[in-house]
Formats: sequence, structure tokens, C-alpha cells
Amino acid sequence: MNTIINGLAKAISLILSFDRELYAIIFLSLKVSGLAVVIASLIGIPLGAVCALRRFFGRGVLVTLLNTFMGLPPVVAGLAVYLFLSRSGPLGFMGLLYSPSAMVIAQAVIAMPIVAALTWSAVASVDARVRETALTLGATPMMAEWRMLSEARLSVFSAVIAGFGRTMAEVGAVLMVGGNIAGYTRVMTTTIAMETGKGSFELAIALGVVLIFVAFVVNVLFRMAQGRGMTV
Amino acid sequence: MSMSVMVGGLNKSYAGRRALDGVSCVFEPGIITAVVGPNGSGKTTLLRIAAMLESMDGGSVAYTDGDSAVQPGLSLMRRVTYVSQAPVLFNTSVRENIAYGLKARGLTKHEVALRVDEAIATGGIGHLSESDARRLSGGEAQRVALVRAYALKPEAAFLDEPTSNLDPSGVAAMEALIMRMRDEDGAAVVIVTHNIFQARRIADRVVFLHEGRVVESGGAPEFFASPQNGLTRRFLSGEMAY
Amino acid sequence: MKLTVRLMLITLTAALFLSSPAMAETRVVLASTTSTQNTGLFDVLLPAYYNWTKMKDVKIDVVAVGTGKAIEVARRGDADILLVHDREKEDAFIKDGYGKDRHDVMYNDFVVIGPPDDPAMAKAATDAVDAFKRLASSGAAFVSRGDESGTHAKEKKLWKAAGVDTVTLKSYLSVGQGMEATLRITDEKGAYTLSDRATYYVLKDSLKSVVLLYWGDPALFNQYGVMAVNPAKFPHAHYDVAKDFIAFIAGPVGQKVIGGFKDKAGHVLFTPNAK
Repeated sequence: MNTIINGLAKAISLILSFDRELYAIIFLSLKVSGLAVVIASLIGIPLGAVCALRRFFGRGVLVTLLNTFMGLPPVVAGLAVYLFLSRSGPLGFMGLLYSPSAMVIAQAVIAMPIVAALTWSAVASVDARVRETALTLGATPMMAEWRMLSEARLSVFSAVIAGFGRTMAEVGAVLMVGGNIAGYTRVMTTTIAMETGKGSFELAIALGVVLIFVAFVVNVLFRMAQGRGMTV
Repeated sequence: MSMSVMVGGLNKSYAGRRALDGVSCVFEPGIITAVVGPNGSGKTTLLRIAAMLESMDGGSVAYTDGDSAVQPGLSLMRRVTYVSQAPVLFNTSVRENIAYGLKARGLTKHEVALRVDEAIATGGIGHLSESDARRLSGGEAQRVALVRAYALKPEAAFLDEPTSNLDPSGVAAMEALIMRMRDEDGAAVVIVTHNIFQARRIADRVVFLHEGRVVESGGAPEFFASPQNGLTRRFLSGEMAY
Repeated sequence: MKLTVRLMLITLTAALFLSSPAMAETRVVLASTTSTQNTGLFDVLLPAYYNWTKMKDVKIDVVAVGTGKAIEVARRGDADILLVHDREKEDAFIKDGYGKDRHDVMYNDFVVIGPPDDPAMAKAATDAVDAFKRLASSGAAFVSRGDESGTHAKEKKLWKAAGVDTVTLKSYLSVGQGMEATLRITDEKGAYTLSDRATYYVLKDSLKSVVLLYWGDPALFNQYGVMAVNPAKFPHAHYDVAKDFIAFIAGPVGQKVIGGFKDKAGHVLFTPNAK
């Protein structure tokens, strides 16, 4: 019990004193997951929307695949990306392994199916008559599809949040492709794992507190967006 | 602008059931045509096919402007509008809903604002303009859908039961709006209505559909004063259960 | 919301790009072991290297995994320098043409950790092999790293020399983790394990149920070697920096830093022995 209390006390002092190492780790986590989710959304939102709005050969298979990969264990994604980016792998010439870029790639791979599958579900739930109504108001087919996506915008936003939440929480992929290098690829989750192994619980607990806080803030932001209604 | 809509010999079936059987009529500009008939007579189907929202199994739909034919396509779609029986409003404010079609046509922000304000004022829905369109009652939504159509200044307007959810003052306001569409913009207005009294009040011409066929049509005064067909007489007298 | 979203995206992208490190520097990967990293040696060694080196804009990235994994990483060409403690694997690495310029760097030793009441009587063992024989015959629980690390390799050699097949042991826990995790599990279970002395010292204060029992046999010495990844095999490898680093760590300056490195309790963790 002592360890926990001491840990919590030290954690709070680390947070409040703006400890440099701690905040560098926090910002790196936010940057890596943030950028990964942006990339995942740039691909995933259009992909999910197209699956919901248009018919094409193989659509059903694609949707099933997306839903399957939504549950992909991050460590498996990490392994795949590692094998690709390793010097002995096909993309080795890019020299990306053990860098923040590799972590962003791995996390984008993890988040993309989540964003795509949830976007698909959101757009598919929109009243189909919205598309026709848009056409009767003079929209082009493309504008009408965009309107369908807009109708689901809150759900799409929550899909992005879900992707962000998953990437902030994972440790397997970023550890494998990032290497947990001090000051370079060390993020909150890998630091917690490492520090716990070393027995220095203060830093680990501090980061745990911060992770929970970040999740809380993200949820608050989401509720605010919801509460504001849908006035664009 | 004086655009007419001509439908000729329309046939349409749904799952083996005949909805329209050789329906022909003309909707002229500057005229309100009421399409009446019992439930299931094909009124909505006729409207939707004429508004180019559904395809027909046989027959034709032709739009002409004066003497020349108007080709189907986006530009024609933007001269026509359709309001469904249960209107679909977008997940945004009433104002944004009304602005949607105008923005789609590429009007400037200023022009859009002007037209939206004018439509809202004319339609008497100023108290609703900032509301969340999804939170409106059935009657309010219907009014907004109609104002939305009015704002587009269409040359052909197809309105399916436009006042079914409204109380008498709402009905009066919306009928006034519909007549403005005819008078200000010279539109060919086609309304499907259950309400014979409404047809008497505002229609210039009436088309009576029964089981997918045009039984009788003509100028409104004559139609109501001396219907030629036995079916028509039975319908007007209220004997047809619907 | 469209505008807000756009603003957020722009801010995010800007923040990301503005805070990226300058691309001018050369990043060199040093694959090493978690036990080495957890002693904190690199936190002292690397700054000393940067001070000493004449090379410009060089950054050494330490990727710390188990020895077996570190060598695997180097075999894939994902590292430039290797610092591990498994002579046999290091020799194989060189023989296969993946490494060159190997030097002894330092050593520490392995120790047998176990419960204070010592049911296996390991404390009284005559040598390392004897200690392991005693562990086997007592049926006491033993926790193994099981991760192909240097420590694990040493442990396996000792079982073999003692003529023990670990399959026959009553309670043999192979955890597949680093030394610190293994020590904690050992502590939790009040079992026996083989640890490197340095990691044991680092965790000593937080270990409640186990103590140092047997040490000193030269068979338990843990020799660290450094080598460069062979540029003939991997042309992209930063061989020049690797050579420079090896010259540092095996030279007088680096050796002095190693010899002067102490843990919180003042223990010297490594004995420099480069020739």
C-alpha cells in the first residue's frame, strides 16, 4: 500500500512541477497517436463512407475485413510493420525503423480499420432518403453523398476518438517498431512498462494518471461536441 | 421561364402489382394541378416519376420549355423540386436546411442569406429558423420542407400531401406559399392531396386517379361542378372508402 | 464544426512538424540488453562519448532487448553496433560475417538469488555447477528468464553441466522476460533464480523475500563484448561511427567511465577489462 501512496504522491509532484522528462514523453505520445489517427482518418473515413454509399465488387468482403482488423491485436500490427520496415524487409531502404515515423505508421495501421469500420456503420445507418432529398434540392450525386456523411458526423467523430483512444493505450506496436529509445521513441505506455519492470513506480504511476486524464479530456471534448447539438 | 411537364402512357409495377397503367397528362406552367384519388391509386408514384426520382416500366416523361425540349440532367434537376409526404430534413439548423439547395447551386453567401431570409419571412417560420431541424414536430417539419422548396424558386414543384400535418392556420399559410410559387415564379405546381376542400380552394386543374388510371381530368371548376364519370361522382361524394 | 476541425488539424500538423528534430544528425542504433540499460550505464556512457568524440552531429540510439533479440536485430541489419554478453553467440555472429572488430569491454558476474532460509542449501555450494545440482535435487522453485538472453544462456549451460534436464524439475518457471521482471517474479514466489549482479543491486531494496546466496565461481563471470555490424553485409551501416564508439568504449576514456560507474548504493557494477 505504501508503494502506491508514495508513488501517487511522487507522481503528483512530477506532474505539477512540469518535470521535463515526463512532459516530453507525454507530448511525444500525443504527437505520435495524434498524427497516426489523422492519417488513419484521411484514409478510413472516405473508405468507410464509400463502402456504405456505393456498390462495388467485393464490397461485402472489404467490410468484413475492416471489421476483422478492427480487433487486430496491436502487437500483431507492430510485428507486421516491423517486418516491413526492418532493413531485411521490403521497405528497409527507407531506414524508418526505431523512429517516431515507424510508430506513427504502426499506429495508423491499427487505427485505420477502426475508423473505417465505425464510419461505415455510421453512414450506413443514415436514412437513405437523405440522399434522394439532397438530389431533389439540386445536389450533384457527390454532394448528396457528402450530405449522407455529414448527417453522421457525430458518429464519425466518435469513430476517430475511438481510434485515438486505442492508439494512446497500446504498447506492443510502438515498443516493437520504436525501440523505446530514451528521448526519441519513448512514449507513455512503453515508459510505464519499462519503469514498472525496473521498480521505479513513481514515473509509471505519474504516467498512468496522465493517461487516464487524457482519456477523460477526450471524452469531455466529445460530450461538448455532442451537447452543442449538430449546428454546423 | 415556362416549363411544362408531359407524361405519356406511364406504366409502373411494384412486385407484380400495377401502380400506374397507361397514365398520361400534362402539367402546365403557372397552374396548380391537384392529383386526387383514393389510397393506392398511384398518386405518389405518378409524382415521383414525373419528378424524375424513379424510373418507369413504360411510357415517357418529357420536359419542354416553350417549344424546345429540356434535356434531363443536373441543370433540369435544379429547375425542379419535390417534397415528400413525410419530409426529410437534414441534421442541422432550419436555416441551413433552407440554404442547402441554394448553396448547392453555387449562389454567393450574400445571395443565399437574402433568399433564405426572404423565404423564412414569407413562410412565417422566423421563430424556427435557428432550431435543430431534427427536433421539430411533424407539422413544423412539413412547413420547413415547403419553405425550403419555395426558396429554390423552382419551375416545377411536385408536392406530396404538403399540408397533411397542419392545423387550419398552418394550412392557410402554406396554401398561400404554394400559390406564390405559381404566381411569382410561374411554376408548374403539382400537388397530391387527400383533401377535396383544399383542391377546391387552390387547384386550377384536377386529375383523378383510380387504380393506376386517369379516370377524369379537367379544369377545377368544371371538375367539381359536373364530374362526367360515375367513379368521379362516387369519389367526390365521399362514397369511396379511403 | 468544420472550421474548428480544420483549425485543430492545422494546429496539430504544425505542432508535429515544428517539433521534429533536425534531420541533419546521423542516428546510429546500438543494440544492447535490457539488463545493461536498466543499470543506467548508458545514461553516463553516452554523454561521455559525445564529449569525447570528434564526429559531428552523431546520436546513438540504444535499443535494449534481450541478448538473443539484440543479435537478431543486428542480423537483420537494423543495428550498427552491438553490445551484449554471450560469447558463443557473438563468435557465431562474426563467423557468419555479420560482425567485426569485436572487443572485450567489461564484465560483471552472475549470482544465485533465493529465499533467506535457503532450502536447497545453495549458499554452501562448492561451485556454480554444484549449486545448480542442489537446486535441482531440492525441488525448490526456479524462475528462468527464458528469453535467449545472456543470462538465460548462462543458466542453460549450468543446468547442462549439472546434468539436469529442466523438464524434470518440479517447479521451473520460464517467464520470457527481462531480468527485472524475472527478479520481481522470483521475489513474489520466494523462489530461486540466476541474476546478473548489477540488476540485483538496482532492485535490491525493493526485493523483500530473496537474498544473495551464491557467487564467486569464475564460471559465473559475465563478459560483455562490443562489435560493429559488418558494412560488407550491410552497406548502409554506420561503420565509421561504430568504429569510433568502439575506440571510445574500449579505450582509456570509456574504460574509466565504466570503472567509475556506481549505482545508488555506491556499488561498482561493472569491471572494465578491454585489452
